[in-house]
Amino acid sequence: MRRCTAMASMALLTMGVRVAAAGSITIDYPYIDVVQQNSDLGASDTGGALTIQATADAIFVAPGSSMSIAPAGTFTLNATYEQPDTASGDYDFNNGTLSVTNGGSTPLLTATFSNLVLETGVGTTVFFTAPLTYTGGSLAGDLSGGELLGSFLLSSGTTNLSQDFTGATLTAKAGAVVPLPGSLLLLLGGLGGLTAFGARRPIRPVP
Amino acid sequence: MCSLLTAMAGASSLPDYFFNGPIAYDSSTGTLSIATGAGGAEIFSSTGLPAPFAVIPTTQPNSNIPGSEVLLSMSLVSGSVNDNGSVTSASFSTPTGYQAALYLGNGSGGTAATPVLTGTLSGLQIGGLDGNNFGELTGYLHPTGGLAYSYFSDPSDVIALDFNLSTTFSGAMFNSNFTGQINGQVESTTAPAVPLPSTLGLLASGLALSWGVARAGAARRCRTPMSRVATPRDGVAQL
Repeated sequence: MRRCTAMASMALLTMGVRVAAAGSITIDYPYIDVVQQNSDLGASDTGGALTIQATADAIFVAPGSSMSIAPAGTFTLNATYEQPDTASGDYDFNNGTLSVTNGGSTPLLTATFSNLVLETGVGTTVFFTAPLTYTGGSLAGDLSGGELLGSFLLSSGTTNLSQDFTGATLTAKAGAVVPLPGSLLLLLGGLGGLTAFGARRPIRPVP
Repeated sequence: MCSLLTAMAGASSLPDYFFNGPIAYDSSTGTLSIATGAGGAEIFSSTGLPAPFAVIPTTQPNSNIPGSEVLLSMSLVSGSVNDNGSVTSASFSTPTGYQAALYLGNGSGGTAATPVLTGTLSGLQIGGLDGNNFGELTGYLHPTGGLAYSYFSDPSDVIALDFNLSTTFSGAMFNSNFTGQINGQVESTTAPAVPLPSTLGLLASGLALSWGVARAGAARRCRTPMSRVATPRDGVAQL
């Protein structure tokens, strides 16, 4: 019984699904790290249309261990303001889409979400969280979804997020993902090399 | 041209180091520290800094990342924990003379060599919504040294998202040990003013050189026979 429970827990972890209590979000490894850089938009809400745009530059595979995304990816999130949350100072956004692309023919990750919560209350900091449903991308693998967690500092507007606002110094993370493509290519290359080596005709000694 | 160069200088982003790694709080000493060594925090990105201080994964894959370190440890200020029923905040300080330090993986050779940035800390505060296992650390770094010292303003901002905490925010959270992850940045609040004067100097010398070359070319053309203008005296001589 205990073994079954452990296996079920492992399966849930593997699938990137985590049943979390309200306010408790766990970002599972590996996760995509997103930071606002250079000319990135950060966060902007106009007329209830929220856009977040920043740079996805690394995948953290374990604490203190990362691999770069090269070329760096563009993280884009769009959502629509829905209503004030039941929790004071929180605001709900829905009809959400998320994408991470870096110029390739296949996006790194695409996802949808229906419950993005923006939380205020700590100065001008805004935290945002959402359970994600993966819809595609090379980093999605067989995972069905994960979690999004991030924050930014309000640069215009007020903590009444039902009104227009902009945000800067944005950071976010989305996990879990499967950073396999690079490794997979290496593995396939290695297997190809081995196959070629094995298929090579033996050199016969010259009589 | 000058206005174009000025605009280009203004377009450069603010110097910024981004770091990420584990943190741990020890309730017996009231100390919150970023983990160091293998599996510790690392600097994984930067903006607005020239090589070799830059950490740019796209053009410099990981070369400055492995072995990078962030040394930052702070102590809970006694009696500063405040829980207003929805938000918990607490202040932290460092001993007099304590300096936080950032080391790059190769450019500064890890902790055995020169840090890329050192500084004292002030205004450190952690805040989070009660019940959440994530919050934010804010404060200021006052640069005192390091290879990239001249690129960072005094003060520079320290902003970090703390997440995956093994506890949730509450008035009692600092009564017990907890661990978590930190994702932060040390950001200069102003752009460095270093590059523009030298660029203008180069431009001025280049323009002067171009002007000189153009004048010399014009003078040479005036002396060539093909370009000579016939004068009445020429005609007399021919007659």
